[in-house]
Amino acid sequence: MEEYVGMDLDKNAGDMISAIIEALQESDERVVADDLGVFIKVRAPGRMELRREAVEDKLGRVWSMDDLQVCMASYFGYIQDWDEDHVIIAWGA
Amino acid sequence: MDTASRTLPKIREHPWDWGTKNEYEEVTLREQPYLHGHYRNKYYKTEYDIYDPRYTAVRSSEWDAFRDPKKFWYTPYVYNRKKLSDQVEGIFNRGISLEVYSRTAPEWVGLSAALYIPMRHYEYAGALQLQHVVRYAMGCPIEQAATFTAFDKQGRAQWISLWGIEFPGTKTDTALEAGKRLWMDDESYRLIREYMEQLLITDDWAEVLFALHMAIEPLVSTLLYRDLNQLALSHGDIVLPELNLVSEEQVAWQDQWIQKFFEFIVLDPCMNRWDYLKVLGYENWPGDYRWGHTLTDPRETPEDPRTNAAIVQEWADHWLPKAMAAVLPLQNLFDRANVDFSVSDSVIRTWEQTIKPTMAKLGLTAQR
Amino acid sequence: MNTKQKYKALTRDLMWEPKSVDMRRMFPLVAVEGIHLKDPSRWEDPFRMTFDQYVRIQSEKDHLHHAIRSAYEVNYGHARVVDGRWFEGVKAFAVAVQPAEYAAHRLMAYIGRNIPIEAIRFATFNQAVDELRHAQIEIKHYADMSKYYDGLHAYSKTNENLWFNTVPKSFFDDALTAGPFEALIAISFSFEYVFTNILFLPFSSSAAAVGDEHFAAMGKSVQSDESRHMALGMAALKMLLEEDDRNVPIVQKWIDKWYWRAYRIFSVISTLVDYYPRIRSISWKRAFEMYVEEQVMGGLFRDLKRYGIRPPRNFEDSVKEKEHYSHATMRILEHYKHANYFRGFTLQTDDYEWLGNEYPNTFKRYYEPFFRKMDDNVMAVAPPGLPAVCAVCQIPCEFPDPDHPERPWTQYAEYNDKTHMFCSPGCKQIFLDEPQKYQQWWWPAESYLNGEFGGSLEEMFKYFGFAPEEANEYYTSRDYHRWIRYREELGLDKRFDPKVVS
Repeated sequence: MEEYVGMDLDKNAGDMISAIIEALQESDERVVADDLGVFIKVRAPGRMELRREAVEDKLGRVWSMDDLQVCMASYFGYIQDWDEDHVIIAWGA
Repeated sequence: MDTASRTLPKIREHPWDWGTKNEYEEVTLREQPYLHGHYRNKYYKTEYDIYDPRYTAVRSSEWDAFRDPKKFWYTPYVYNRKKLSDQVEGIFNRGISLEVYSRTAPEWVGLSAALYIPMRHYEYAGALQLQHVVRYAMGCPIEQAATFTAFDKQGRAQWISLWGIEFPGTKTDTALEAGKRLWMDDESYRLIREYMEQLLITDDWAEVLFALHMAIEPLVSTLLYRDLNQLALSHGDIVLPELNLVSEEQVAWQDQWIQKFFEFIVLDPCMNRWDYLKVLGYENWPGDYRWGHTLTDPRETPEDPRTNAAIVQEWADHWLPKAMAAVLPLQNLFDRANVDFSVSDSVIRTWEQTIKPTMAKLGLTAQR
Repeated sequence: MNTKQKYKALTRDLMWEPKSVDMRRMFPLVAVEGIHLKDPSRWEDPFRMTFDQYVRIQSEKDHLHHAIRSAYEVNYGHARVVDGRWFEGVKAFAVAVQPAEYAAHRLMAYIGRNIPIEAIRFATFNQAVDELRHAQIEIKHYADMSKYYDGLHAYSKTNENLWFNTVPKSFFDDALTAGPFEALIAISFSFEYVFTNILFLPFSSSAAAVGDEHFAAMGKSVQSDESRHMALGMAALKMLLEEDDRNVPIVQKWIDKWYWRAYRIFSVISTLVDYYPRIRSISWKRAFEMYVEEQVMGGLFRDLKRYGIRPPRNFEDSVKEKEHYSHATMRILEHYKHANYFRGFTLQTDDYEWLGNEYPNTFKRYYEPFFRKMDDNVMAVAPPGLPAVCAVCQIPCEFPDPDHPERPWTQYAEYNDKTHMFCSPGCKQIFLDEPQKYQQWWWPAESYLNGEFGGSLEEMFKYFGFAPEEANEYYTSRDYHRWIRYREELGLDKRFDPKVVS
């Protein structure tokens, strides 16, 4: 069993969710997204980083890390860092 | 198919048996259980139940009957505070863009930093002890108002900190450090700091509400958030007075519900701390007999022979003079900055216009 | 200053070393549990929330949520779900979870007041306010339901007095009466981090699958706050473990206790995942594997090994029980459905099929015969009295030993010249570690016998906060007929056909 980290994203948030997933997958191809009905579980082995700029790029508009709080229904791993530019979730911090 | 226009028959008009009149009551009343707590506290007041009327000396014939005059529950509270927070953001942004402080009189910049920044500790300490109230107060209607008041105070402590960093602090936290040194070591702050230290060891949650909100808060908040606005403007400061208007909006609600709360308590002739059980439908509650062999019936705890009014009067006699004395030394700060303002005028005005009439309305006296 | 520095400036160094009174009088509970702290100021809430951010993010969440709620209420969403029995599960959730949220609200204020660490205090206070949010947005759902259905109109009274509610209530009462650090590990770590996912996410998915949009939205909205609470739980746990080695065995003891305690109150949740929804998104077994075995044990506890922390004492028991849990619990609920505010129900053909497929090793062999017998006559095996319950978790002692499912798992211990009874080895251990505390539990049956609840059955139900007609079996109940009538009124299909929906 691998030590995954990840997030559960609320599908109600629409295009924000697809932008987040694309942004995650672009920086790390090991990121997997599973559709679990009302939410999507994204996971990656060991570490996951989400960058604001990457999400804005996909969305084509200004996006704030605070918005992640509205659509992130849950997560697993340690939140190693969270600021206006990026969020890192990892084990072994 | 036009289904939305049909009206389905309801089996009851109001959702709960306790006849709630509005949304606030629907989500507030009977939230806290009153009976059948499972265990006693392991470390603090180990004889008391989880929600126990003995955490305060005053009694109520119906703890759940208190109402917040603004009817705040979570959603309206957060909506409202979001508006205030947006206002504060706008005030700060405009103040920065207009470089207001480059044209503000330097003596005022120094004085306002020395006067407001240490008060973040005052607001924070109040918020901290209100969390004690949130845990031990009886019933959701009362503790909910205390919860939002504590949250407001955390917010004001943060607004003052932000202001301190952005304006007098030249974008660093050195101004906050200087403020803390004043709070800790300056004679002007000694009594108010000690007042808050005493508050933090006050156990009776209703007494905490009195000491904080009936005694010191009217004096401090009127001085800081109202009486200094004209003085600030006359020194070219338009940031602080606007921030004060926002803070005052929070404080006005606090004053309102606190006064209601003390009316609710003082005018209640209830002398038996278990009376409230009758309204809840537990008139025949036999006590915690299940522990008959290990613990006694809580109702055997002797009743306090004093009326609620007499108890609150004792708190007033203890805390009011201390509060008056605690605020007066702030005059030093004005004198040092050579700014003409009388703290004692402000304090006496609040005493005459707010504290005395409030106490008189309760049939109590105010001695300073 | 950047965000991090600003966050620190706004939330730190606000408290001070008092000069006129002793620090220990101000924080009298800080040392009572044997926890040692050296320099806790280096810890922080990973979310770095400030007051301004809090009110902005949360008001946005509430706007979204209440918009969904209003639409649901105006359009009579309750009549549109695929099967009205879903609401019996929602009722269980309502009266069990909502008061727990409220208790957590008071509890987090207690923790924030008594732990002298500013680094996490604003986060604990945010959580205290969040828990009030959860209690209140949940009530809004039930307030709407209560206008159309039975069982909820005196929910607080039910919570205060009913045997079923002593289960969640005793859990939070246990934490509320513990020291502040234990309470923090109990709630922020064991409850929030290990279990809330399984509470809100699978149940939200089921809600969406059966068409209860409001409940689905509520679950996700609540859980999005839990993300912060989980982060706080993790920060608190790591802080205690890294501050001093002497904390490690104390924390391990708490993890052992609270894992099992939290796991046991989730027994009812397992039935809300496997039984109440007519369309399921996931089974309890699979949800347990995903959220607890993989995410928590596979991820977190592997990581905690370096501190000398091992998985919770009875973790293996919970793994063994995963193929039995929901069935054994549903059997208990069926047994006592005549004295409960949410109903049991006759399993339908498609239910037998789903349960048999999802639980090939256990359902058909150990549980199906029981439910078939119930189908023949709803009262066939209703015991006459009130259940004999576990002295710790307070669930009726009717769990089978997962190693020998034909035998009960019930355990006994002697303490203070009295025999105490437990549902499982996990609960027995918890009792033996703190017998002084657990012998104080309130046992409703004793109150009934003592006459606190009046002399007649009628008076007893009044004390429970509902009438006998509000209990029992769903498909023969007045609520089922109401639901059908509402659907007729709205011109919706009368019957559920599994083939059409899937």
